[in-house]
Amino acid sequence: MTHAPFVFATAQYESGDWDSAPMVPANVIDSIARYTSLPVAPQGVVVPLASDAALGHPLLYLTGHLPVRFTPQEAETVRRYCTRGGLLFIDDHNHDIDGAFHKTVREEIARLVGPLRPLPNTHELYRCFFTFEQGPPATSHEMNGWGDNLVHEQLDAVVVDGRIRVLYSNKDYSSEWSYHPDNKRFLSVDNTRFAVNLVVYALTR
Amino acid sequence: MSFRPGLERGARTVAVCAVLGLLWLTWRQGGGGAERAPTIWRALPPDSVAAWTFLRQVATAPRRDTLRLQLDALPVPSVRAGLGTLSRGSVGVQWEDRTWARGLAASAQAAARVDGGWVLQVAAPPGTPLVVADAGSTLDSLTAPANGVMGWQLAAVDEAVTVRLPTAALQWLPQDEPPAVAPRVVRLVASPGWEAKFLTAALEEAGWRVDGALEIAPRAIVRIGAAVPATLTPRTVAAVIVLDSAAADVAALTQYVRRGGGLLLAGEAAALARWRAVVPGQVGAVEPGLAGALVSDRPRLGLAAVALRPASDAVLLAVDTLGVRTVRPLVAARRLGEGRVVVSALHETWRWRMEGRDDGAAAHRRWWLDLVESVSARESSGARDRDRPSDWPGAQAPYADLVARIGPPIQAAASPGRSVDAAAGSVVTSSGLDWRFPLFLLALVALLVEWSSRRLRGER
Repeated sequence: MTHAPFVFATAQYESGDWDSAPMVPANVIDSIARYTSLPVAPQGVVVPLASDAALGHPLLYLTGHLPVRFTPQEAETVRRYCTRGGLLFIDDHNHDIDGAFHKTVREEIARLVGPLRPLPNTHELYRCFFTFEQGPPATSHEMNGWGDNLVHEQLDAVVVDGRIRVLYSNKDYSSEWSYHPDNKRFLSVDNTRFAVNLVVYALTR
Repeated sequence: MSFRPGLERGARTVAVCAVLGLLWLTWRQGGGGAERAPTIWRALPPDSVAAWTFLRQVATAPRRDTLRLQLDALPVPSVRAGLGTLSRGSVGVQWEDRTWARGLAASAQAAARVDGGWVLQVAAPPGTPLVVADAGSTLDSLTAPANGVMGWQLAAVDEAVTVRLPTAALQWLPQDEPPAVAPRVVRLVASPGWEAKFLTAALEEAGWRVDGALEIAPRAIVRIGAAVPATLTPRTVAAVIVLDSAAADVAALTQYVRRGGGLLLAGEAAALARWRAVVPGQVGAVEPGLAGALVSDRPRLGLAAVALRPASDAVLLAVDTLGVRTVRPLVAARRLGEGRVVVSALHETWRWRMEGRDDGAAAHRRWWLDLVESVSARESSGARDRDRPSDWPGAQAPYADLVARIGPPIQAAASPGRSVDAAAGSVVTSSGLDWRFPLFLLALVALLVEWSSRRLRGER
């Protein structure tokens, strides 16, 4: 007898391009199946933040390029989701600390959950499965001429009772992981390994 | 004989006076006269058994006076309850508050924390400047607040603690280092998943430490809590929770329970054949929860559960009522050796927390806390201790509890009533000597003397 498999869920919201990285779920699911023995659903799901369905997925992935302004229903769901113990992973697809997504979504999170603060690179998130001594792995998109052209040394987070409630990234993992899983064979080092840590952390802490 | 008529007149006068006195006393004690002075009891007997005996005598006494107590200390909870019962009955209960601390007093107790320490409490006259110091330095200086009560948590004490007022001082010397409270540890045997995650969160929020090793891949595990010790004994682990089909050493866990440990089988684990010998009941198929019930007043009905039929030697600890005559057994327990095995039928309780109402997180935490406390050896003895008077309702605020039961204290004043010490064990029957019977006897004797004298004189 096994328990229900892990389902990768992408958050859908009204104000922006929530579906800007359509290949990320498949790639993360591939990595979970490739490196772990965790039961995982072969396909991800999209859950509207305006519905209670989001509460059934304690790990949610949210990304986009455009300004984020949650509707009242979405805001209430985000508040409840994080208060109750869900982990909302937000990735800035612009990798731009001066960008509209960055500014607006951080305002929304500060309003609904709490201020985002730098997460130490010694956090167990970076060691719970693969080890990332330097903290969050750099992406090939951070200095590609777009965005702020910075290598962001840390992720930000809202931590409550020792557990990450919101994890925020400017590293543009949405671009880094949005490719067909078959193409991993062309990489010397799989750049989705950090996604495995994220899922393992969410499932165990 | 000339003196006999005088004797007879005197005897008649005495008899008439006695009868009049008898009538007056009867009228007065019947309520028509002035209010009777209450009996004042200086103090209750110090031990609760004697106090209870005294209160029972008061309650069953043929005559009901107002009971007025002068309390130098608050009664224990059981006696407060007895006083409350008396006051709701036909016995009036009044009390004078003499419990206020008028001088300097201090008490120190070992803090109930893992890292030990002391809790120092001081009572001093309100408004008095006060200094607390140990051999190392001054710890605090302040003015006593209006209620006169102050408290400190001291992580460590350098030799002795001195509490100084302008007019008084006292010193407290710790005799022994306070014993550190043994950590409450639960071992989790489970696969990674939302149930394990939120169960761990709930217990950690409630102050338990959860240890476990979750297998992520065949050669990769994630440890939660502290490193799992090799030995599993009731002294090191209060309870073991098995959630699913993750590898569990059935023989070792059974031995652990027989030696006094607690085993909690929850969710899928309850249905595994390997546990059939110890599960306190028969476990059947998983039955889905009611749609929408998670956000109702009865959120447990929204959770799936295995069909549970308790064994004959098991105790049913929780059920859900589904209809007028239908119940869903949820938790059953049985003894195994010196330990206990509990089975919980609910599946995926994390949905209670995430998908329920806003109070779902607290209810989910309470659910798991109750389960662990019901199975762990340490907490099961604690459950028995809940019957101790110190854990009774009102124990945390005894003064307010007493006021709630028998009303606020009356002003202490010189009272015309008699003063009696209840510690002597006397029974309340009257506020004074009953003169009616002696008066009746006096009247009878006087009339007999008058009648005898007349007959001896040959008169009728």
